Amino acid sequence: MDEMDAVRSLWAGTPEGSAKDLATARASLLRTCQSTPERQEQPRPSPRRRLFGRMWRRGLPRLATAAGLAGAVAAAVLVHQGNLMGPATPANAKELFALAAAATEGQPDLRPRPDQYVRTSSLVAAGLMMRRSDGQWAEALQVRREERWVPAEAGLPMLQREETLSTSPADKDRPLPAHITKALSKREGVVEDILYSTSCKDAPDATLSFLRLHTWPTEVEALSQRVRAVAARRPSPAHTRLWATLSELIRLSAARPSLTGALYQVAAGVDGVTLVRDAVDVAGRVGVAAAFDDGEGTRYELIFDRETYRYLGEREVPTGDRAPRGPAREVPRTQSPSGSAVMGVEVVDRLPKLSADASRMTIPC
Amino acid sequence: MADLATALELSDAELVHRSWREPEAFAVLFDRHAPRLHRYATRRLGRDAAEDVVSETFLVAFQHRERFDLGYTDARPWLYGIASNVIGKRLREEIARYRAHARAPDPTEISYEPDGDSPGLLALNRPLVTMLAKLRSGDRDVLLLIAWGELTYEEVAQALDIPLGTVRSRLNRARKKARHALEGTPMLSVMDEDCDG
Repeated sequence: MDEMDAVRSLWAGTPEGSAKDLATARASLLRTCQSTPERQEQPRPSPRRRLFGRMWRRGLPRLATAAGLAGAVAAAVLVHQGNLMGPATPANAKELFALAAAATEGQPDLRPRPDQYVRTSSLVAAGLMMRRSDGQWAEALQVRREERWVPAEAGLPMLQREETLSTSPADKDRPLPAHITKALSKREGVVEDILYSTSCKDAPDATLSFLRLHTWPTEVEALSQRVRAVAARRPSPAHTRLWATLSELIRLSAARPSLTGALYQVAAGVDGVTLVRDAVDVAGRVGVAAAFDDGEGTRYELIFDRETYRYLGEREVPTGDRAPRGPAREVPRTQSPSGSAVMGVEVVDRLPKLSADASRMTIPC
Repeated sequence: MADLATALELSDAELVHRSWREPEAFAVLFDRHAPRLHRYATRRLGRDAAEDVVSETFLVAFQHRERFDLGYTDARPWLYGIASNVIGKRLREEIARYRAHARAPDPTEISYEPDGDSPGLLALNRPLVTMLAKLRSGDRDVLLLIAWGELTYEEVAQALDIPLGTVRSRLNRARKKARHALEGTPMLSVMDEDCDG
């Protein structure tokens, strides 16, 4: 027996993992698979990519820094057109926005007919705080699927559909109250529909609705002025209004990439935005993010795919750096990242069949 | 998945490729490789941590499946490379496991005992386990991917994204230390740097 045989003999009797050993891991993988949208066919890696991939990954950050924004945009076009040599790595948030803006150039706006709908699908995660019988707080992390059917023109109803996929304790050492766990688990898999109708000429929720976004300009300066005007009317703290407004517009403009690209260019001008190289969206996709810290314990991230720079979603991450302003909260703030991930945007002809106990609401003008 | 029977007959590369359009095809890859990966992780970190390692490895692999080079038909090097990174994040846990094994006065104190731990063999294994705890992490990865993961030198190079020459030099260094440990001679000081090429 030589030394390699001796090493091989260590724990040699360990059995392979059984189905029982692997059940949780397999279920976790399947959940992720099932919540992941099908992707477009991609070309097989070319020999050129394999030859130069490592060199490109190591060398580009320095090049990108030196070349500045214009160079980054050029790199993004390269990535978008062929992606032969691996992804460019932005050096800062401005470069990331430039790459994301360039990536929207090849994406056409969705143009539904007046009788059609834009359907969006997203995964949403949110933390819920609940008090246990021992007086301690426990946090649950709830993940749900949200779908919206927004009509191309006002007059047709709008459908909001939500389905809770899971509710689990955010901290394994702090289990949730049993009666609440039982109640929440009953809601898992239940589809809740709300059908909104209105007789208004314009879309309800006048400020930031899908329906109204077609009137927003794509010229950057004009768009910037309009965004700032809307932001000024928001009730949120002054230093966070612009970022909050841009985040909301970017999320809502998924059907109109020409506007999204212009919004990225406006966002590139926001002060204090930093780059987060490893951000994970609600669907578990790892990306790169532009982040805004509100200075009160929360970092707001806009997450992009690392290779295509397509928008993946947004996330709020508690940083715990500072306590929030204002009076002390009775309910402690959640510690789990929350947010939403875009899973699909498409044009459809009609609403789906409503669930049996769908709610119906009329929005007054 | 639409056609499981067909998927079972696909190569790893074909499965990964298929999972781009049918994400659930990745589960077939899990069923194919997770049992042995679990065994490998158990040997390195113990039974309790093995499931987490397997779970994280496959989730990371799934999320980055577009990066898998379809020129390789076998996904094991790719998966074991990811697993090495996952295990690397638990370095202290791994070292503590080896040290606990080396210190234990009786095999029953080890939570998951190797079948071969008869008292005689344990006397032989303890210096080896001590040696494992003292190895550089890169050397340990190479040694154990070959000895326990049953990868070839080329597959280890692919898994760890290092040149073949580095695999050889790291393995050579680890084997020397293993030999010294078995012979009961004091180990030499840290060897030279990796020799690429």
